[in-house]
Amino acid sequence: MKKGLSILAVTSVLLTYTNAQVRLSGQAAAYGVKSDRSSAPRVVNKGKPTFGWRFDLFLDGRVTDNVVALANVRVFEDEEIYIDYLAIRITDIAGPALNFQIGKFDMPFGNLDERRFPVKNFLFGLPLIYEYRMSMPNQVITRADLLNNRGRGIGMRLIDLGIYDIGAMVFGDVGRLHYAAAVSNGTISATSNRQMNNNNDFNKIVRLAYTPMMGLTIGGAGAIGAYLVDSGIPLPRNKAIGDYLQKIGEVDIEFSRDRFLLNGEAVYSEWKVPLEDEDANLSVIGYYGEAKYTWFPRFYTAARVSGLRFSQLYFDGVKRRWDYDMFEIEAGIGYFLDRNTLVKLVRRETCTLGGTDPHDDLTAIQFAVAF
Amino acid sequence: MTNCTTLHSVLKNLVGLWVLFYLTLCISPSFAQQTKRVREIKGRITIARSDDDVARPLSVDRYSTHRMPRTGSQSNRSASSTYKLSEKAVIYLESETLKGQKASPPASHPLLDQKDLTFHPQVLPILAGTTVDFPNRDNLFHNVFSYSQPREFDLGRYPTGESRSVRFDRPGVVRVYCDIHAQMNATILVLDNPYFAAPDDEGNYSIKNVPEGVHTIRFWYGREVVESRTVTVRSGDAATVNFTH
Repeated sequence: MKKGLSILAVTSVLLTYTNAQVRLSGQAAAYGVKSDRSSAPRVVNKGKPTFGWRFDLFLDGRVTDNVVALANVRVFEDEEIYIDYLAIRITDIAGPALNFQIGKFDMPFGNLDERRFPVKNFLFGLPLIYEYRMSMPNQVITRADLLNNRGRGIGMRLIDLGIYDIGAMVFGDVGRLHYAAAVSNGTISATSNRQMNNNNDFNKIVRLAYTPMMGLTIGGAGAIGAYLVDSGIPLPRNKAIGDYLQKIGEVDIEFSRDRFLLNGEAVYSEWKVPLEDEDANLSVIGYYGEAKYTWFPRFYTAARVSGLRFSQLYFDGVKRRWDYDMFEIEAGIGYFLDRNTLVKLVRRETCTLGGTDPHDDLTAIQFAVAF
Repeated sequence: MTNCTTLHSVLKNLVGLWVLFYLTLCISPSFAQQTKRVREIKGRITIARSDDDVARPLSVDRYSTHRMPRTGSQSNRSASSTYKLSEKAVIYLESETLKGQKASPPASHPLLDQKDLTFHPQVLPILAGTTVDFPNRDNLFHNVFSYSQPREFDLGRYPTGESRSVRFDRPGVVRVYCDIHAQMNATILVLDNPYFAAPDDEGNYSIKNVPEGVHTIRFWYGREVVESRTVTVRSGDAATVNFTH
């Protein structure tokens, strides 16, 4: 917490000292949630009715017309305060075609964008691909442990909570085409946050997006990088960490017209995994699609389907999926009390396929305020 | 004698008709206004210090930089335009006398433009009952909406070249925003009488045909009323009211 506050304080002082134009804004959200009672990892407080909150603070400073400093500090209830975003952006180096950013920021992968924050998120949670912890950690694991981890929620996320990572990026626009290329310390599933990915390999990310018409953007991204944590313990078969890569690709779509919004994303990821007897390629397909319709001023309904489908691997001579496939529906209504205050009522139903289907559905009411 | 009687009778009828015609005119509202016409409140607005740089909101589009193309160099810029005085100042009158005044809204529709990620003008004064058009002149979507009590609306998203319309029947202040671009905002002042004016870019304004009486004259600048005064309008006078902000 001290570190986060210190960095924020230093940033503020620097921005003030450089006579930058500074803007402080943020979002706060408080919610009440009641999930099913079970031991499933996504059950909230063992199914007891619970209140919670989160807080996001944005500090933006424009040093010159072409240089801005950006920071986002986040707090989840009594968790440690941490910085999601701290970057310097230099724009219009060669017109809109060339811009540069360095620091900690959201990597150019997918189209979640501002929907990760409560006022812009039509619903309560994030899609499974951003939220669910798979059975595979970014450490060496045995076949048996991988099997035992299924449904326990202790491994990596497919896309690590919106992929904030430390790195550098060039991006720009050429007509209706947008591009971005970045390198980062961590990978899409194992970012370098909290030393989760501390190896010395850089993740490489490329993204292209095309807007054929106003209101429709189709994008795609690919990334490759070493995902294992460098624990100092020799890897099986004397291989190096750089031999075990995550390769991941996605396509996404954003469509809007009148009062209707649609977002979708499909992801395929493959990891080369050092099992005890051989290297295996494990893969997963994840997807989500969400829609929102504003019926009249202030009031909207929204729904999202998301899912994960895992590849198969031999366990004791039998082919099994390395984690349980999942399918989830989240639907809700939202009402804006004023321009910056939103109240949402959301129901989430999760179905875990191929294993025990733990009861982890939930109902939530959330108040979100932007300031 | 007969001719004289006939002439007298004709004259009497003419006088009667004239009196009837005059009385009819007198009770008609438009004539009543004309007979009370004074008629002008005019003046000059002086802006001592431009607040454009101070008030200019910093808006950094941090999360869509790798989602879709920008339109020009807008990513790091605020609402880029600096408003002219004619776009952000309004002088209008209020009083009990004026509340009862009936006036027809204009047949033509005033515009609240969406251009360069900015609404133009920043404040739009209209008479209750007026329909306003909201053309999109940017190369991207906007979603104009308002949750203000006098008129709630949500126009949804529509592309360049299209326009949507909203009729404003209830007087009051309508705050207008874009759901996509948080820095965009404007105000529609829905007024219950036609005695209002926007200044020219030098600050000169004029409100004509003002009825006699004591009125409150308000100076709206940017997002709010910054000064109000009382002005007495008498027949034959031209009142001058200057404002400095």
